[in-house]
Amino acid sequence: MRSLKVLLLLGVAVTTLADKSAPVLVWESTESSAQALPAIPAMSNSQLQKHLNSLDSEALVMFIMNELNVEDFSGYPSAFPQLRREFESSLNAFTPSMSNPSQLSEQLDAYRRVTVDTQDVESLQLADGAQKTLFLVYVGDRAASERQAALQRTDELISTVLARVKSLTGKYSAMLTGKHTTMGGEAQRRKVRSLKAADEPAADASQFENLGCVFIYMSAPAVIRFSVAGDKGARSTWRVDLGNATFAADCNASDSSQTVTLSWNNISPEDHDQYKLTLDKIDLQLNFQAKMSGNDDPDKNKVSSWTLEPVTLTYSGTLDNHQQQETIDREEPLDFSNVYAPMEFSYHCTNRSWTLSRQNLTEEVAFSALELPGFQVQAFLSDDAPETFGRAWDCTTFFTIPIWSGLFLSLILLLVLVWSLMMLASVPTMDRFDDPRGQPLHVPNAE
Amino acid sequence: MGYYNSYLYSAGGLYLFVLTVIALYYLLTGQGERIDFGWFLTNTSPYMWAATGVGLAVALSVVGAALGIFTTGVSVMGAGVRAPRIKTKNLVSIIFCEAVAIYGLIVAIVLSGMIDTYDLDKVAKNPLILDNNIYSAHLIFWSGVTVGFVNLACGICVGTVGSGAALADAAEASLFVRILIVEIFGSAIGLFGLIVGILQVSQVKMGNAAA
Repeated sequence: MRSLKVLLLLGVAVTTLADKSAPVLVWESTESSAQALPAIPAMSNSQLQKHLNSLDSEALVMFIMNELNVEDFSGYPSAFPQLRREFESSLNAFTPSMSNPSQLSEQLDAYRRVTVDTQDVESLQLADGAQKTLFLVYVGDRAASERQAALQRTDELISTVLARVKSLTGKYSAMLTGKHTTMGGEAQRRKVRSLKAADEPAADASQFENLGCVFIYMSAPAVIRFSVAGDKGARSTWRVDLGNATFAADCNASDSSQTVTLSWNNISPEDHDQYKLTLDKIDLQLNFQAKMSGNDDPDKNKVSSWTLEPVTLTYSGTLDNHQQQETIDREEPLDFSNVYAPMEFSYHCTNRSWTLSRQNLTEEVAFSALELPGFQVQAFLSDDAPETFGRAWDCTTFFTIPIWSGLFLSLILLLVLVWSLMMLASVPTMDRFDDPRGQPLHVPNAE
Repeated sequence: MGYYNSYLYSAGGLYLFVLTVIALYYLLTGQGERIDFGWFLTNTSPYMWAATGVGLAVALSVVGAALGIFTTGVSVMGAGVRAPRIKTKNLVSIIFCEAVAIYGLIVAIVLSGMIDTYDLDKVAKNPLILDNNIYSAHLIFWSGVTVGFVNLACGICVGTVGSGAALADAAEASLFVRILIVEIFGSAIGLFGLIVGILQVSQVKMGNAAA
């Protein structure tokens, strides 16, 4: 029973949704027969059809807009001046809502259909050999935000076409309707602004590696920047994206140090104007150094914090500057000493890049910086540690130096302000000559 | 007007509460080492310290002088109504208070002449430049604070004594010179502050040349 009701409801909904309705204005020239239009407020489709078929006019002009609302007449009172004149000087009828009015044209079989080319109204002719001609004018009003302008254009089109029809015959009728109202339009055509289709979210290029004693994570592949010698000693930067790295860890080097090596193989960056670089192997060796708590009892001497020192980047490959090929095999030390975290914390930094310590770069293509985006690392994990990173020890504190400086200075100024307010508040009023039993002051009310 | 004091106490209490909460948060979540005054002192801009020192030197001295002149001037005016002969003689007390402001002014001018900028690329080559600039900036700051607070106290002191001198002078003319001696001692302490302040900044070397 319940499912039947649901089906019925759905059926009704579907039919109502399929029904397109629009207001209809019909007017006839007074020269045609005085068959009054049905004076009922809501003319139905079939009634209008019967009436139009039985009309004595030679021409019926049907203006079909894409959209027509009752609000177009009430909301834009100055939009249809000529139509208003025509309409009110003829026998007229107005139906606020008629279903499927634009399909009337197919149902009026007493008429010969002629579709009017809105650009070429002057060449309109009555259909010869037929008694009645139906002129179909598709007013191509776009669903513009400038509704007023669209309505005014419609009005001009109506007057142009009617002027032509009037020159052809005196007995005409006209009808203005729309395919649907604004609400009943096809779902595909949207008048409101919609969000731009969002791009596909980029594939997640992050890398997390559990190496037993060390967790390491990068939110995007690493980047190496080379400094390329250019004209007149100016150097430019060449960015080389590395792909995913392979990891190797040595957890048992000693009680107080662990090593992790990241490797990238066969990196061929896009060609630079002058150089072509092929890197067979890039190795980044991270040495974690623990700082012990310093207890003399070896059982109680635990790791209290760790730093990342020393770090070496080794890369080898060939460099081709279009004149000769050079095999490169270089080793660069990097200063990672800021990477520090206490035990059970993980070091985390966003987009940190490590530049080379030495400044004078003499080679044509020299390594200048390594960037590890979203770098998070934790070392000296115990065997029973959980599978996720410990709390993040960020490379920048929450309260940065500028914040503290600002707080410090504003404290000084606020103290001054507070002192001055206290002084102001301590100004006493003169009460030497106050007499509680004296007469209150009398101020006469002068008119 | 009486409410203002309680508002100010509440604001001060709130400030201290917030500070305590922040400190306790760090402490109790195992990040106690983030509370690092050394990091604050060495990483803040040396210009902040130096400029604040200059400002405090003159500002606090002027506040002291102003309070002194306020105290003395009121008494001179009041006593001068009944004994007009004291008016001219007691201007000396006002001048002693003014001198306190001048000490602060002199120190501020001397200190601001020592401030100089340094370049980061020169620091990269020679880190000693930054060390000396931080050192100098701290010296300038605390010199300014020293002079400022000493002159603040001196100004209040000289003013109070000068006020007493005016009232005593109005009662009996021979008392003025004796109380003036007390006032001179009071003024000497301002001079002590000036001397110590200048001594503190004798080793200041700011700028690129500090090495």
